[in-house]
Amino acid sequence: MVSLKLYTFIYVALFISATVQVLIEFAGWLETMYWFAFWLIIILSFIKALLVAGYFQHLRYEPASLSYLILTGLGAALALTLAASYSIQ
Amino acid sequence: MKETYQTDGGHSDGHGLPPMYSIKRWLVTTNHKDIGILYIITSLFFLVMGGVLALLIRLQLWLPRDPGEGILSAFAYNQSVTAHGLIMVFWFLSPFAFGFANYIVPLQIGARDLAFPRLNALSYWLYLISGILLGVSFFQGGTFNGGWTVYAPLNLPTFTPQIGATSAVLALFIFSVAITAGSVNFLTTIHRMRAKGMTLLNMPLFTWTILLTVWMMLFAFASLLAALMILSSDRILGTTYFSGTGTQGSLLWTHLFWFFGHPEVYIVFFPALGAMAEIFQTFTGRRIVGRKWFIAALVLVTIQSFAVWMHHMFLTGINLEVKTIFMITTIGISLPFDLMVFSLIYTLLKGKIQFTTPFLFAFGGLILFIIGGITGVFLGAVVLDYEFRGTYWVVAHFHYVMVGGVTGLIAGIYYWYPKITGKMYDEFIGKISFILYFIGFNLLYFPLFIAWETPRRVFTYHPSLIPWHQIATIGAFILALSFAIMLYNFYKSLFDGEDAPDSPWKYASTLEWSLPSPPPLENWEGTPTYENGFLEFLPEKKIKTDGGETIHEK
Amino acid sequence: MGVKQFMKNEQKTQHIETHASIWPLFISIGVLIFLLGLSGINTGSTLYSSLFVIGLLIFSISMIGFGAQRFQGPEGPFGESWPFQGVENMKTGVWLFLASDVVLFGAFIGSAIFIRVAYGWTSWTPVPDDVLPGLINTYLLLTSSFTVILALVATEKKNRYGAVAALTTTFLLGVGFLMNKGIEWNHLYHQGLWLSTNVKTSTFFLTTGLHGAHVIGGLVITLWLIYRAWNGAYLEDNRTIEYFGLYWHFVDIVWLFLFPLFYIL
Repeated sequence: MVSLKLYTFIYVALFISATVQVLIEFAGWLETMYWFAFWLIIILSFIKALLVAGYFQHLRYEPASLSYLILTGLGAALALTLAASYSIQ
Repeated sequence: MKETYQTDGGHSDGHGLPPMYSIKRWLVTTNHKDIGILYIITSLFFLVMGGVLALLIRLQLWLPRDPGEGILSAFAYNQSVTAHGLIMVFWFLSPFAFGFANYIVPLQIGARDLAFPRLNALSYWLYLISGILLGVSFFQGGTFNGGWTVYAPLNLPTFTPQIGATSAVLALFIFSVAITAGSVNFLTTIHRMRAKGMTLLNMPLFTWTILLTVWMMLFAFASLLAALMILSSDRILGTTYFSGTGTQGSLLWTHLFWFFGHPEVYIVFFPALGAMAEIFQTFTGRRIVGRKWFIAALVLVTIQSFAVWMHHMFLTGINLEVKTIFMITTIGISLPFDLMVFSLIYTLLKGKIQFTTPFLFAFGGLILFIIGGITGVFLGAVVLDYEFRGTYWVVAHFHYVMVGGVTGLIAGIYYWYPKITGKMYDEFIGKISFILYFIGFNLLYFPLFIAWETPRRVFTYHPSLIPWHQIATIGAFILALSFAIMLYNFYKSLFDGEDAPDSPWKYASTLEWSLPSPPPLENWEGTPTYENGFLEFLPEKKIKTDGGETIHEK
Repeated sequence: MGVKQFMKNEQKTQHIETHASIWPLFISIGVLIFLLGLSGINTGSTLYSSLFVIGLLIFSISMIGFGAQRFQGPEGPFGESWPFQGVENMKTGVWLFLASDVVLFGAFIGSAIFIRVAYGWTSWTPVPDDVLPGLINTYLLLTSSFTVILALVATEKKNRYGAVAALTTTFLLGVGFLMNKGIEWNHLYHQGLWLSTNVKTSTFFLTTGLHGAHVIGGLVITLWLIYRAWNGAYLEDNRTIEYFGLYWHFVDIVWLFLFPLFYIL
């Protein structure tokens, strides 16, 4: 079982990451270097998602098949989005 | 009927279920066999509905018409074409296949029922009401009339203002919800609830195809759900996804729809392929040639089916690079099918064939699918598709493959009829129905290749093509007659047929054939297992829980 | 007969593996009537509006019946379960459903991305002029995910009041999320920005609206869980809370992507 301390630590990390994403906007990085700020924010979102999925949803301690299942769904959605966006370039 | 009515609600075969001749039984049942029967009968009703629409279309196409001529107005014709497609693809084909899946899959893997029996019942009832909603839509100013692919911006109220069009979209939406619930159910069941010794590789081929079908369903229908929800929002809430962005609005719909739409055609075909594989094995008396490769090919198609969808969009505004990529992936997906077709053919050559009705339909289905498949290759070539798209070449192609699939499922219904009803169907009438079916099918669809220049979805065409269209119309009625004879056979045999043994088929080797016809409510006593290399039924164990209650581990 | 008595009667029959349930039929009837009403809701006619309301009512009551019914499906362990051995049926089912929901939201988000790419990515500014309500909503949802964890921990410690308190906090945080969103949407509406204004607002309101609908669904379930936890359920077997948590964390994760995509970038 995961300890309450670890859960709390992750919660705080999530809280901080969300705040950082907004601070990036407040720092004006989206005006000066949009795509750098863009990827920074997106990657932060992915990290947050991994933390919630891995620990809150317990995926780190479950059989890998569940993680692969979700990754397949994510992969399908990404493939559709990226291919469709590419098709209109 | 072999069911007895139990009132005590204890551990008896009744388990609180009314007898089979009472209506209440069918309203409250969650048993997979009952639900299988409900799906089969309901879907056959939709087959007739879609078939009548087809006959109306063929009558309208007897001669080239101007709008206002013939038995159908332009509006009625467009509704017929649209509803025929929607009903056949959604409300007939998959539910028919899943009637068998519900009945047969738990029996084949050694499970007592699906993982979530009430959810299973919910899937069926949502399917039924979705069909009712579609039926009501005809009376709300007309049903949707923009083609079964529901392309934007035709799907918006600007062009299809009638309320019935919205109902049709909502009907398809709730149908998709039912399907998603069903796929969660089947995936959990097939993966988690197999008998000991039945590893995935050892599973019967029909169960394999159902497993892969529901994997495709899980991901594909989510895309359709999104498309339908966005469309419903555009129609009801006034959002502007499909209209407010110029050409990109219509392109958005095609991406969402065909990302679903291509896996859908395999979702519709795989169960038929599985039934055909089982039937080929049973009536050639041998295992399918290259069984592991066959399974590998099925898995490959499942994965690849999500990577070819833009071949339905070669005539949209997508760029040439992406069209080329998807032409390549489309050629790629034909390769596993080649393997499967050769595997089936070799099985025939190496086996000793019994020409029963199920075998005739399965073999006929294979031939029809090969013809349809070859003509699909033409469509996969971008340059050729520029000519063929929107013409009757496409119509003929997909009817050969899809109704070829139906042929395989009809083989399935003859094959499993004794198991489900406990009666033998009339073999002679069965063979007659096959001959009429095969003749009617080819008279109907082959001329459509010859008359390929006819544009889709209109009833005006070049007069030189009249003879071909008239042959096709005649073929349609012969095909319809064969269905009538088939349904008559099934109905009559319920009363007149010989009692069926556990297995009327000498070389059938899957679990369902070791049970009585029909199987009892609980399927079997004890726990089936293959752990010693052959089928045995271990006695039930009784274990005690903390609270001192007895739970029967089944 | 009150709900308590109804459930006591249901519990009396819980040891018998039953094959019967009337609820799938009733739920479907409710859905049919509701959708019929929805199809013509824009006509404003009394018939369609009544069908809408009646259908919703029948659906809701039937869902409660479905949830309250003690129904015994096939229990494990089973012979072969690869690759989900060690994950029991209900949990497998929930994860499969979530995988499908990932594709659903993925398609919605993908649609918004596609439209924005077509529009010109960098010439598109977010609909909300103020990012703060979005950030507050992020905080609220993150915290509510944490409180579901706390509820799970409480049930493990057989702490009935702790579980109820944690679940209630989750509920209140979720309501706070919806209220905050309501204020935000009201503000936007008065700026002349609504669903049908343009494609940008369409994607904003529909995508975050779909997410909001998932939140509402979760909160309805939370109420049910609070009711049951108050009566001492889940102290022996807390799997239902765990499964609800899986859904709720998923809803949280979706928001973690919606927030930057629709408020910041």
